[in-house]
Amino acid sequence: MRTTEAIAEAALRAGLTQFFGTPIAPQTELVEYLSRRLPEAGGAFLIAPDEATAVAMAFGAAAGGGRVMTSSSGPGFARMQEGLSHLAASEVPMLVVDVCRAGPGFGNILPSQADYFVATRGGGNGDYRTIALAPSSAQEAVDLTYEAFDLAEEHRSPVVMLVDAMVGQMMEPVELPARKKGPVRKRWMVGDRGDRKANVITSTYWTSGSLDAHNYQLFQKASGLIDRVHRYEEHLCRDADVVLVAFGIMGRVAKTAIEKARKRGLKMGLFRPISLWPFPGETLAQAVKKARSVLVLELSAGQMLHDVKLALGDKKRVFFYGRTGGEVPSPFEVMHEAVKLLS
Amino acid sequence: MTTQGARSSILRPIPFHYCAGCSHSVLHRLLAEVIEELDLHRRAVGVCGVGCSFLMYDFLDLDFVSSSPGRAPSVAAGLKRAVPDAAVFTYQGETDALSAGLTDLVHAVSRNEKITMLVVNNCATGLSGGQLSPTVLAGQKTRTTPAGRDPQQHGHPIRLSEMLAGMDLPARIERVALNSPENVERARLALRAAFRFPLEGRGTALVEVLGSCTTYWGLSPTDAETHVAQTMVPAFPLGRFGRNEEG
Repeated sequence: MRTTEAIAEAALRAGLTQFFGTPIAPQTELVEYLSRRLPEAGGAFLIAPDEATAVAMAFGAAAGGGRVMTSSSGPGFARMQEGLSHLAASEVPMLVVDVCRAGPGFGNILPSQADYFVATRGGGNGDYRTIALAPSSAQEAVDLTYEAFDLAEEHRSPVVMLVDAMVGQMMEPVELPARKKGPVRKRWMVGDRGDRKANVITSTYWTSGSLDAHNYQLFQKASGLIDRVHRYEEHLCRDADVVLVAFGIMGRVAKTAIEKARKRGLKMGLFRPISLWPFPGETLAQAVKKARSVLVLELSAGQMLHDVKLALGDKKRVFFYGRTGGEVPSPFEVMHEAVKLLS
Repeated sequence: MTTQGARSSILRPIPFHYCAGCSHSVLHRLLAEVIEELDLHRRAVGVCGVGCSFLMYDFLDLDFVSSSPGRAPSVAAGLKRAVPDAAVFTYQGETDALSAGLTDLVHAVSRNEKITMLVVNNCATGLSGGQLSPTVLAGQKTRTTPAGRDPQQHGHPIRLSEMLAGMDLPARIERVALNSPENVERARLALRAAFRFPLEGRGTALVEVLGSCTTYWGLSPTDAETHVAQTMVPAFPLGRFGRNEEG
């Protein structure tokens, strides 16, 4: 299956009840897929006039107890940031998929990872973060999608899945999970009130001190996420002289590069963050302990690089190689860059 | 025996924070009474926008979601899909609904969402301090049109109900005012119908409510009522609009 469609099917099997989105390349197949399958499965599918609207619809549905997803790409994901700030502040869970195309601006529809900052820093206003996950294969996208709703609902937080357009558009065999039970009503939701007191879902904290207290509660929740959420893949790091740090499609390019390098007797390894936020920084620091250098690879001008440097401090030499604008380096190019660090 | 004028149990026993003569107080009360009359106290879910009424959930004992500017109709559309049995209503001012939120509003009406939409049009961006709003009349002075709204420069006021009527949709659209006891009673009937219409599965019911903003018009409550009658109503005629003019 194409990854975008596999994500859609995995979401259905995870009990998706409502989807709101817009067609925008390179994620349109996901929207088209759900336009057929979600109504068949008894859910609600709606094309929104734009992405700010889509995320608002999703906000309403999740506030009312739905298991909700929206998806977009680059410029559309940018428009969603207003809503994501409100979702995070109002603690409303959902899955937001960004199949990342090249920017800035309209850019082009080729692969990119340049939405890393937007996905991991909280792209809207105010102090907040959202859980951000990055698959590097169709199967991993299926697995993460299936689990993302649990993470979102458990922590009352939006989850962003950052899928670079190459992973998003590739076709691979996948094993699909069994259908999960649908969402369960929680006490904080609106509608179906019965005898309970009125609930208000809001991001407004107007009285002095109340917003500060709310924000600290959000920060505390966020720090609690680190153990629960942090995901990574570590590959041949133990004896590596150079550890490549890459996520998404660059993790796979790096793996092939490492294979080629090892055949030549050059010791390289890979550390691939799967959760981009919380970032598995401490695990990374352990993994690169014996390496002489670290090479960060991204389809951007260097964004995850900042998190790697934060995690490693000045204990390691950290280098960067990246391409932008839809260019994807070949394994040879990557190996060549890494070899430079061995001399 | 029925008691007239009793306070609705949906209205919490706390004073409104609105200015003297502000229409939000009247409309909140009407809303509470109509919801109670229709026995929707436990079914109604409000979506409030951004404007002077953004804290309306403090006053009304109802479930609420607060939306970012302009998005209330979209939030309501999503909510209605998750809780089909709920009486979902939006409450927005005209700046919220017609500037940031025109896309959300027009598309929600075009989809004939089964929701009730209230748009309070008081020719003022009140919460920010009385600046130009999309319905400010030509010549009207605001904090950002100190010499008066010049349509050549600042555009013409948007007439929402007429615009929606032009789309020839099945929605129920009505414009009411709150500047006299008779008009308040007409507004009550309009609200009642506007809650029933979506619950009967017929579609969107939108009520454009002409309100007054005494503070930023610089008028006393009674002068503001006269202003609504003499200046606003001629520009924004009251009544039913569009295909669905009956029922």
